[in-house]
Amino acid sequence: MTLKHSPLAELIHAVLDGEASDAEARELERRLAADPAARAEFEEWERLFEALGAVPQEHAPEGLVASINSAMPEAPGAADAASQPFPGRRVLGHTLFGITRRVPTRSITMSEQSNHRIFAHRKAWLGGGIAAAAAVVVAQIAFDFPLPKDVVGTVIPAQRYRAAQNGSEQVQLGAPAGAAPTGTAPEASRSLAEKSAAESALTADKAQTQLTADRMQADRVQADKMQADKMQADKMQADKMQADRMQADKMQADRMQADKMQADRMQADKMQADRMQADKMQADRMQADKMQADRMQADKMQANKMQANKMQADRTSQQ
Amino acid sequence: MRSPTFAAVACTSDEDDDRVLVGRYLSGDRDAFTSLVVRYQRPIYNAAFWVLRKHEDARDISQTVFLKVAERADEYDPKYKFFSWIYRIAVNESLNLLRRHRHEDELADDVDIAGDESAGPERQASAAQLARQLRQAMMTMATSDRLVLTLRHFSECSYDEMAQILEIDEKTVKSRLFEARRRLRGLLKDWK
Repeated sequence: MTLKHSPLAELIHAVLDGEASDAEARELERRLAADPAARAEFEEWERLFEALGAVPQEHAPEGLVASINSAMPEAPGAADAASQPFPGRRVLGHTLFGITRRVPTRSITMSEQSNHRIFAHRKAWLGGGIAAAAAVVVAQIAFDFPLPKDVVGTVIPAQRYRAAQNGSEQVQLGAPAGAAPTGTAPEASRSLAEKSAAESALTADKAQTQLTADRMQADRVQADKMQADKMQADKMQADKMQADRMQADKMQADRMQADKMQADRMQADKMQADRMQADKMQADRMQADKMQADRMQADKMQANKMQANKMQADRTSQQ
Repeated sequence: MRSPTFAAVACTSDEDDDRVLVGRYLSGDRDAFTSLVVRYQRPIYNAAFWVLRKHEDARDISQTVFLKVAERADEYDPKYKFFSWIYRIAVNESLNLLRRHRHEDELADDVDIAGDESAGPERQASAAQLARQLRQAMMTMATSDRLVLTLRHFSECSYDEMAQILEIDEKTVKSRLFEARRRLRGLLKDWK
């Protein structure tokens, strides 16, 4: 099959594309009526166009809308970012010190998402572990955690030892300067002072331990509360995504159904139109054939009549 | 005399409605954008598929296209059709991916350009059989041919719209379209 890039073919394409002017369409009609070869060429191209129109199209993959929704940036005119629960976080970009950074659009594609899903749980655990370790380090620095009980007392603030001073009753008149004191009373006094210091250190240590324990308890409560808040926020977000997905899927299903119905309708209409056109062409052909036959018959009768007249005239002239 | 296609009619969609949806999205309404995605996911996916001939690539490109559109919605010029704009992005993204992957010459496994022998010498193949043959034949054609045929016959774009999308003049559109159809017929050996 070889068809040249002829003006006729261009005209046929323009008409079949619906891009021809009225004058061009009339010109084509005239040529098709006058030239059976042109008519055949037109019908061949018409058949190709119809077949192209019937090539089945692909359906968009399931979940495409949902995946786009989940990767979407904030809508440009969305409410003030400061009112967001986590204003600094974005899917495609993030805000740092009031400057919004635009991240390249090459986000995670759907085919990549399947891999991400595989490791999602592992990443969550790893991330959780790292976050917990970081929290311990920060807390240790910030709150000065207590050490285990068996080393209690080693962190007592250093206290300067002060021996008890001799009282006036302990000064012996007439004793030579520099002479050693009798010894019993000062030693007892020193022992008493040491004991007292140790007791006060123990008391301070206990108070410190209690304070630290209270602080840890408060931290635990606060951490639990933050965790609960985060879980609730995550759940709400997941619920919203699920709802969005369902809505998108429903819209897609509706759309597909509408497309199918419309396609069916259009196909039925087209078949009906084709049938009508074929019937009309058949009728036209039959009428044309009949007219042609009538004309031929009339011509024949006319010729017969003329021949009869001629014979009559010949006969008359011979007589 | 434009024949209707069965699915991915896109160039004939309601452009005013598209502009309204873009405007709503720019005002912060994400649902408006979802409506646009739902409306155009199929033609965009088909455009990408007919350029790339791989479903996985077409899926990724579709996602990339819509995310780009979401990011750059404020750059959309309403004096042009929204579909022309988004389709141009899809075509460019697909061609870029094609260049990156360099799989232009690879054929999909299921490509088979042979005619349907069951049709017999009388060639009484049904429209569906012819459509299948055409699809297979198109899969073997050059990207530029597939692109113009897709735009015209599957997305119902006019010459003017094709010129906008492909950023060429109408005369070139007509010429490319004619040549693509001629080559397509050449591939269909049993066509008559």
